Amino acid sequence: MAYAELFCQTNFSFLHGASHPQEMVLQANFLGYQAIAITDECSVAGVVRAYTAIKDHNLSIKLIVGSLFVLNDTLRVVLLCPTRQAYAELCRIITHARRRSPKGQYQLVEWDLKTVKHCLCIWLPNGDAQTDDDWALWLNRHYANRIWIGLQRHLSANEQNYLEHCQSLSQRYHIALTACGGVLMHCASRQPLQHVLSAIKLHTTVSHLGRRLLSNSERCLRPLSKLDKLYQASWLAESVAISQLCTFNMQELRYEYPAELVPQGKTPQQYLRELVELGILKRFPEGIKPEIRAIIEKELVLIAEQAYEYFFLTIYDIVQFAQKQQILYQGRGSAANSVVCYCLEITSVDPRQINVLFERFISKERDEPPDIDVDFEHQRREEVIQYIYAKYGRERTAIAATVSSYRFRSALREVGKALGINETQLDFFIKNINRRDSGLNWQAQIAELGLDPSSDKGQHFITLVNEIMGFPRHLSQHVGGFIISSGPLYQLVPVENASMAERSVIQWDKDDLESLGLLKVDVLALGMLTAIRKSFSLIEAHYGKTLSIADITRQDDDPKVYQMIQQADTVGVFQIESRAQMSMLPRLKPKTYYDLVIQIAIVRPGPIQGDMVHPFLRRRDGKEPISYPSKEVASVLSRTMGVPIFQEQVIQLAMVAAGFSGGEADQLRRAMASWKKNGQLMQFQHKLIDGMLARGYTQDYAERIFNQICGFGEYGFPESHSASFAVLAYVSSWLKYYYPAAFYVGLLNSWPMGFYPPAQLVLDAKRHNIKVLPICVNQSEYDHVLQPHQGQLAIRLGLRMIKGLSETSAHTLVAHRPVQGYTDIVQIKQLGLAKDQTEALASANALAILADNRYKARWALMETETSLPLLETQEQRSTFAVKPNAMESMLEDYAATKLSLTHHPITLLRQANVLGKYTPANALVHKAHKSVVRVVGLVIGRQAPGTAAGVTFMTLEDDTGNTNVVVWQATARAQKQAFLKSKIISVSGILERGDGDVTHIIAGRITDLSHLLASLDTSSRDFH
Amino acid sequence: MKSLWLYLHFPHLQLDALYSAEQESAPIVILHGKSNIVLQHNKAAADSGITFGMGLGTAAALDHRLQVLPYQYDIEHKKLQEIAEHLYLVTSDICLFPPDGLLLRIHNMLTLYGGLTPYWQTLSSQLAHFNVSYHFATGQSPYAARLLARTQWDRISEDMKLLKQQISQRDLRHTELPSKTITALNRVGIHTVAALLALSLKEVAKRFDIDLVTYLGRLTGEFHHPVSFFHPQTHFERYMELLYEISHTDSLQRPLEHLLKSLEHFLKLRDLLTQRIILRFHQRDHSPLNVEVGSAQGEYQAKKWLELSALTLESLKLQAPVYGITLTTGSTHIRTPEKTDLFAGNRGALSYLQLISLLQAKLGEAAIRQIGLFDDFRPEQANCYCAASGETPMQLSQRHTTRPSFLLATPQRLTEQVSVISGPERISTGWWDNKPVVRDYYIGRTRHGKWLWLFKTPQAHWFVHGIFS
Repeated sequence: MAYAELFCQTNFSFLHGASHPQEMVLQANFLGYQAIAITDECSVAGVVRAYTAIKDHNLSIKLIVGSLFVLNDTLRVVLLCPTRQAYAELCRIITHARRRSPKGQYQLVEWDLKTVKHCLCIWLPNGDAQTDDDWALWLNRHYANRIWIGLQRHLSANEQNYLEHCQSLSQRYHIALTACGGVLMHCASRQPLQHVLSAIKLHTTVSHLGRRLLSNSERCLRPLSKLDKLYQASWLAESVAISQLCTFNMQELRYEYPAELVPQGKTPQQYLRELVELGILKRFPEGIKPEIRAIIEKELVLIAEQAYEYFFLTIYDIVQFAQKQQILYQGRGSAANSVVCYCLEITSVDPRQINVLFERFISKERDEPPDIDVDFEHQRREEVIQYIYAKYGRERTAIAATVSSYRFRSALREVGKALGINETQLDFFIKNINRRDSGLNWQAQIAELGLDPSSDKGQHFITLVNEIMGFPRHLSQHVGGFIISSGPLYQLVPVENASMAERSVIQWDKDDLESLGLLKVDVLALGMLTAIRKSFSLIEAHYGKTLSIADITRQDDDPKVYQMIQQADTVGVFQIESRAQMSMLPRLKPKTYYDLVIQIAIVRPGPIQGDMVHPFLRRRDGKEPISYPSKEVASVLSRTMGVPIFQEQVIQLAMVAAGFSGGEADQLRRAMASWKKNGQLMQFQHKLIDGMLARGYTQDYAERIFNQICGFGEYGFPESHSASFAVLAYVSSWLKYYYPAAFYVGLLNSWPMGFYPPAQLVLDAKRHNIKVLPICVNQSEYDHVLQPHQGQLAIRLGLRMIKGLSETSAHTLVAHRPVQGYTDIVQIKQLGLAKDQTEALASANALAILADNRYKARWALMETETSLPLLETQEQRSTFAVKPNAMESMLEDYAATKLSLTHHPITLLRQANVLGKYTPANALVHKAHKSVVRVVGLVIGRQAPGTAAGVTFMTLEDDTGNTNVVVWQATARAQKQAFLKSKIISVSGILERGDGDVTHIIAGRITDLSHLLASLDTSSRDFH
Repeated sequence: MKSLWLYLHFPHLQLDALYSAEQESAPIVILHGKSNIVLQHNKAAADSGITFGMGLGTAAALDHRLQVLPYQYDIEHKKLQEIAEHLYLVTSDICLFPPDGLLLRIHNMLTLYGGLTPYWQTLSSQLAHFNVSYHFATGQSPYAARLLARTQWDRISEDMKLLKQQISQRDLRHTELPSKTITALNRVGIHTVAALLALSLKEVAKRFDIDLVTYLGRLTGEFHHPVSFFHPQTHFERYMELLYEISHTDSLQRPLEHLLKSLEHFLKLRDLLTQRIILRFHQRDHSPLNVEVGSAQGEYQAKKWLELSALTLESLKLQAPVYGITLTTGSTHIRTPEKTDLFAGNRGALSYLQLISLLQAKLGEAAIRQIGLFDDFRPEQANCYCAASGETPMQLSQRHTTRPSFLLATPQRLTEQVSVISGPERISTGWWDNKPVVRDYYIGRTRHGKWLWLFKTPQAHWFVHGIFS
């Protein structure tokens, strides 16, 4: 006997199906089914995964695409796609039903089903004689010759009656019967998980669900022998017959790029070449070298072979728009670093500086789609998105989906609730489990927290949490992956509403699109681009110099800029400004652009966990010989001293050293991206190690490489992205070195972005001897600006710094400002601003020019009578005489603007003689290595990177600079209170000076001094 | 006579109300449910560095043994009432400031007690019964006393000058003013009551609403502050939350004794007897279990009630661990000699509940059960006896299932030949409560025409589980 499962819901029928699509097809194949239809409810979100699983595992089972629909609670049908045409139809009705409803829901109408002309229909009668009779007539009318009654047997109570009912319908209306499973699980052991999912869906506990649960596990994929007993042979045969009608294969889906990109009368190849030639003239005005010309020709041949012209043209069109609008952008990704992209002005990575990159342009063998992400200024990305919508229309454009899955916390919480565990208790678990504690897995930790792991409930809890992790919860929108097509998109993939108004998402995520070879265009937002563009404008206005990213990168590597970078003077600089990056800079000492590419990629959890940093440093400093086990390996690793640092190198290594095919290497890449989630990486272990042994590498070397791959995991950073980031890192460093004032203003006006809050940036500016002028009602604009001050340009803080002051109020204030400035507080009152707005001004001391002090200004503003014009002349005599002292002024500064230009808390505390003896940050350089020191400061950052086990980095700020403190886990544990709660601390410890004079204080004793300044709001950035 | 007020502030009433929380060596915190902020903590928690206003995350990180209880307004309110009841014996004008404060008008009591000190002695010894921690202070106005007590002045005085000086020093954060007003004042440098009082009232009135002026007047005692006084309860009801969940009835004795003592106290004061007490055991994830204990002639003594309830408790079967107990009385009557007339009318009119309690008292709790129908696939769980509570069992539609009228208490081995009429209905579920069932149910008919509800186990053993009528 043979069987094809025609009704099977995966976990993409959210909180209903209890198995992954991959599990379904693997199990169905194992059981010997002829075919399996993935029929999630009003969705095809899971089919690509099923398709990919079949492809990856070379399964013989046939995949049918379909979907379950429920109309008015009385009609349930499964529609199956026999042909591409039927598939387009299915996508269309899913799209319509989804677009009628808010995110996550759908609303089908009768008309939708009437318009279906090609799909096959499996009807699932509901058992009610009256409605079923009506629907039988209706379905016969609209689905003649392609309608079946789907019989399910789940061994539920009174099933016999239902079967008789269906058989009678079949006889009376001449509709053939077919067996189908109504499958929700790939195997019976998923029943508890299915129960838990139902409980989560209905917001209750499993024990309260009663008979709303499945009464048994029959809704799994069952062996043929069992089906043979349950169904008549003719019903089973019918299922196979139906499956044979379905010839549609996902492979047939081809994506057609919008034709309007190419002018009439030209082929895409011609047009692309034309644009590239134009670009060559612009990019290489002094003439192009033959070797670069050769690379371009090679790239164009590849593009033509893969028919990727439209992809490049689409991106070209978008960046052209950005250029016209003067929106700064920068492309990145494997294809972005091609010379073609440089000529099309998609990137500014000059090929002459970094020849080494270009061997890695899209290669056919790797079977990897071209990858170009384009970053735009974060404050203006929306303009680009609106351009895309306007140009192609909403029917043809949508954003790729991101599948939100259960992660540890959500899994713990939801499963816990479903099992009836108290929510406070769950909160307690979640807050206390340290997922980074590599010594203790979460199961052991939860036992320590009071859950008995040997109890039944404890066991269920642990198993179910592990099982549900990775289950999809809902579709949300990708950060910026657009899919654009030539015809309506809904003929290719269903489109649904996103939670954001006016946005629509398709039902597939980026992996799905990749599997099907469909291309998406990533339109991303990047704050640094905004900052750079703003700096450029300021330089143009104040220094009369016009700059662009390409102008800066075209010059040779500037040693002065690199010197600044080597000293880790990189606050505000793109990418290399974090604590970890800064501590590595003096050691790595970047001197060239490519050094920066490595710097950006190496200070990542991947390389650090894979222990690649130290070998690299040793080899670079000549302390360790560089050797390669083979010529092939040398070709891959020579540019990084034989140490794999980039994701691409790992993939290439698998190919040249272990004989992976292009397709396998691509699978490896994807497994790496998600191995923490599903551990798929382990399946490559044998293949990789055996492959390397077979090619003559030692066991030891092979294992080391595999461990490095594991360490790399999801953190591996691609060189192609690092290369583009390095451009921005260099450009921002260049700006910081040559035009620091403009650079800081550009950054401050682009905030929120980057690693440091405005207060830190302003402090850094002050440390670079840039004068920073306070906010003033008569001098400040909304944004921060450059103002001449004592013969040089100073930063005048803008009204945007003031907490609680809206942008509109600030603009009103500036627009109504008299030429000679405001002269009386009454004028401010009469602007008609809300009280809290003017009071915010007073507290920020912006009215200092109009009143004795901020308290007085605020007191005057609180009174409302004089805001009426008639009473303007009324005498302003007040008996109010409260004055802030230095401490109060500082507290007000911090409360109103989060920074104080005049007082630092540490200065005040020192003046008050409460700090005792300590070494200020700028005096630490005079202290010897290994000497005992005491430092004090505001805690402005606590970072517990996943890399270095058990270490937390704290950054302390005093009035002379920042100090880096390293707190070991044992110290942190022993002094938890001071460690976790403090805002101002004193640390006694050992000073350590390492490579490149990187100075750390290894914390010994930590004392909380917060009580000294109880209400200071410095918002320490905890554990980012 | 100058008015004088006394305020008692109970900083961790819920914790104190908790059975033996203070002696507990493990840290316990009471948490605000929404904001996850620590509201109360015991000594052990304080030793670990846990403070008020701390987030759960930090608190939990400080001590792994932390026990967390959600804050419950009701518990505090009830405890406060209980304290008020008790103080009512020695002082007349009590005003509740729920959930954690009591205000007493005391100037009219001083003559009775012969001065402030003897009055306070009486009062504090009365308070000592409760084993609750409190802060106190006198004041020239209700707000003044409250402000001083809440800032832990812990002194009594009639010296108006001293009192005035004390309130002046207080930070505005501790006043009754809305936080918005306090912030507005802080932002112009006004932090203390004194600084506020120093401002010109006219200027203040121009900048703030009338509530601030009213408050100041009431605080200084210049304005009259109307309060409504407490009247003692006529009906006894008390809830006690247990620190540990109790699953053995034996262990219920001690907390129960505690409750019954307060009942005795309540009844004795009023010279009342009650014929019935109702114990409500709150069970985790289960409906509460009600137990009634009766005493035909009426009783007030804790000892007697404890004996009576001990008998009932012996046979009591808890379905789940108990986390709290409520004790309420049924009707009470004045303690008078029994004078029942055999021929008095209205006999035999026993209510359903009375019948149950009567039967329970006679035959023991366990002997009286009622049939309950529950939403579950497993026949044993769907139909079962439950404690007679008098509540109507859940009504469920059984539309799609055929179930026999008679279900055997325990399934019996099938011993005769039957012909299967319909089936199977597979029931395989119940993994979550450790009562899993894996069975295929059939309807079968014996040779004698008896219709049986049968099931087959995975080991292919056949059982009879029910008989169709």
